[in-house]
Amino acid sequence: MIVEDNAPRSAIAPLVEMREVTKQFGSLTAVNRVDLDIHAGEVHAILGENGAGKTTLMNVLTGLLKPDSGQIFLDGSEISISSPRKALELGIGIVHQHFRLVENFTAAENLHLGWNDTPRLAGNKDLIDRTHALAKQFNLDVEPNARIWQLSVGEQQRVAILRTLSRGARILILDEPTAVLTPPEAERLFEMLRGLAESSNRAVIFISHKLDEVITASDQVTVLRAGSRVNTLRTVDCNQELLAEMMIGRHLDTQPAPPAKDLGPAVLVGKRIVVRNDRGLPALENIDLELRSGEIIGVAGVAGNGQRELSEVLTGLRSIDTGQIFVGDQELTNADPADFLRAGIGHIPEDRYSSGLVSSESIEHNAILRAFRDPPIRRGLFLSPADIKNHAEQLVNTVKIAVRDLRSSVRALSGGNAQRLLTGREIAAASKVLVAVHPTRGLDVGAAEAVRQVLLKARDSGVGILLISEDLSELLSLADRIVVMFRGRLTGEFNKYEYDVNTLGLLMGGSPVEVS
Amino acid sequence: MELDLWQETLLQAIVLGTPLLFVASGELLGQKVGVFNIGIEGVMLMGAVAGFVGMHESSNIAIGILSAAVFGALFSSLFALATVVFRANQVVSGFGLWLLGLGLSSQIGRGYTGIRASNPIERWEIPLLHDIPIFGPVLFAHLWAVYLAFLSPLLLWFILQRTRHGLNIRSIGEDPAAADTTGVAVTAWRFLYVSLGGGLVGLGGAFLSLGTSQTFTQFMTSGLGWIGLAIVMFAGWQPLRLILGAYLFGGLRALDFAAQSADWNIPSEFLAMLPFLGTLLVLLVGAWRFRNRPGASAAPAALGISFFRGG
Ligand SMILES: Nc1ncnc2c1ncn2[C@@H]1O[C@H](COP(=O)(O)OP(=O)(O)O)[C@@H](O)[C@H]1O
Ligand SMILES: [Mg+2]
Repeated sequence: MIVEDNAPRSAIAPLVEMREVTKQFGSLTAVNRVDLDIHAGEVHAILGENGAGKTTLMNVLTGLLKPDSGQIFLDGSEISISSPRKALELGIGIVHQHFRLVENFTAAENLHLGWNDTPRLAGNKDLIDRTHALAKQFNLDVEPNARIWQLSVGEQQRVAILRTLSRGARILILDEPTAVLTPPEAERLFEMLRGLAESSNRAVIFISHKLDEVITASDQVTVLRAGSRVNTLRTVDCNQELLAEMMIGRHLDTQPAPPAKDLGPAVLVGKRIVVRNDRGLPALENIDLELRSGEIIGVAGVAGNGQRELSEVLTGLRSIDTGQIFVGDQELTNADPADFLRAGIGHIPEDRYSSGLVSSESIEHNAILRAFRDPPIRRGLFLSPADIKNHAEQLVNTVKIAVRDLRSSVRALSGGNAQRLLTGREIAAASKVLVAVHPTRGLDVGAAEAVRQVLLKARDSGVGILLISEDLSELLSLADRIVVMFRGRLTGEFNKYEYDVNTLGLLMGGSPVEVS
Repeated sequence: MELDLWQETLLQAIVLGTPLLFVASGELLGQKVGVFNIGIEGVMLMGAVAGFVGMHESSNIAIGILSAAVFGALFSSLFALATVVFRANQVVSGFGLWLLGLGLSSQIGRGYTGIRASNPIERWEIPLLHDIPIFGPVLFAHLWAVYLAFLSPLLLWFILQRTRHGLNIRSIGEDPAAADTTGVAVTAWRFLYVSLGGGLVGLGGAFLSLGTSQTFTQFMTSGLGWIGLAIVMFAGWQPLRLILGAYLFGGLRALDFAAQSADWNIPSEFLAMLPFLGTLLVLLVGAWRFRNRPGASAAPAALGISFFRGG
């Protein structure tokens, strides 16, 4: 049966073939000799964890990046894709994660922007008429006269898809198309993609790290892990367990850090926290959390499932709709960030340069951000330069970074050193709790290890740490407990040494699993 | 033909609004591609002096007008070079442009002060239309540059709203990254239109030195460039509304003259202040209109922001 099904497919030459494509960034091999065959009429999923190289592979296919080696064939003949424009001329179009639509323009204007098929003289009415016609041709529901900012994300996405299709894409690529959608919107998208592939003999490639949607929406699935292709399978031959294992691999090579010794009292408690995100959609739903002194709770999950909101809520940066937050026995529900700081909560935010450090300021000033409100640095109305210098020197020495001039810009520090500075500063501020978000992301092995050691030391001195990370092996090694976050809920809890990577993977991908 | 006071005031409103219309059109063109030039007062002065010198040396008004436009554009291209190509801060650079224009124009114009224009911009009475009772003499008996100024926002409107190219360049002011991904040449068009806008601003200056004053005096623009900025905001960045804005502000200035000739008992200082008071009002109303959408305004969304590819 499988063989029969396969026969006609392999008889038809693929629309696109990528052969042994490799792309390196410095010493990092983001894509490693990957083969990919895409056939007309199929929906092909590219599955992989964050950082697996999915986007990089597609950037090569759409001409945004030049591969270091490898070949690309279209309709059997080799092509070189020098730019996204060229790719689109060849019929390869991508809808980016951020749609790159002009917010203040109408859908019709966005559709016709920078497009040679737009008539030279075209008033608003012409653009609207043409948009109606194109929407009808591709069977996409788009309101031509609506401005982008008035549209829901799902509607915006349809505009972006229509734009790519109108410009002649035979191969439509979508980078994590459902990351920003509500479940019904996602369902609708997949129905549409399916229709598109079947009726017009186009190929659709969509990137995902969600197992359930790969299973329901694709015909073929290629799994990437750490830059390499693990396998390409027909989706009917897969189940979620199989895909999860291929996607995550076995992380058994990581040595778990010694577990927490004695747990103290609860230092951070969240009760039934509910939060809506910037668009008014539920971001956190009934989160219950109890962090005790001297333990690390790891929050696993794929980015965009509420981790950012959770970290903001627990540090006072975002107010909650319902629920309660306690630090020690003090209630801090909807208190100011300054109150959270005073209560002893430190925060290593997700983006160290835009929210953790002030990148236009000196190392010295960044070092005192948590301490300048109090003596000895603050002396009445003034700040004492000598104490600023002292404080900064101490911090720099504790985190062991070599700095020539404390007054030079913090931008002059390498990523690893900047992160150490930030970590050190926040740990000094965190007498009770540290909320750390992706603290080792983008660091090399040595720098990452240094940051981990600092975290463990803080834990052993009695700080409770909430560690939000996408790096499973890091969580497996550091955390004393792991919870999984999916679509704004905490969906599982594991104790140290009881982790099951496959179950974790399934939970992260959103499949319901019985957790004993 | 004798005009009554109201006809005279309306006529003056149009005459005084004309340099504003040039300046505001030029500024709008630059702002539509996302570049905020607060230095147009300086560009205007350069236009005024270049126009006068060009006319004086050639005894030809066409050459005068042309050199005002060309030098206005060249002078603004300095600003474009700094802000668009080297991505310097637009406010700081604009401030520098203003000061530079102030100094340079009075330096160049030093040898020409006190000379009357030998070939000023002429008055054209438009046949037939001019004979319409009441409005004819107010609307259709002007210096020819008044008609040119009236056409410039119409041309802008047509290009921006009715052509593919206009759509593309508007997107540069709204979202240069999005424009860039669709293949619009952000830097090149920004540079070009900021410079061309400077040409229009230069015409505004020449209208003073070759039209209404018919002589060049130091700092003769006396704040018109700044009012031009306000008119762009008043118009909500819509070309056609520039016409209303420019003549309205021209009208505020004309009131001052009317008051003097009619012996109204209003202090002249108060009337002279009106355009600036109006400017303040425009800013407040602009902020008020968008109070429910934080961060939004009628301005191009990327106005004042340098564009870095991938940044
Ligand atoms: N422009 C870049 N410069 C340096 N490293 C990059 C760049 N783009 C991606 N990477 C790195 O390449 C790896 C693969 O990234 P990416 O393709 O974005 O993964 P995915 O889309 O699967 O999450 C990651 O480790 C990422 O940090
Ligand atoms: Mg990606």
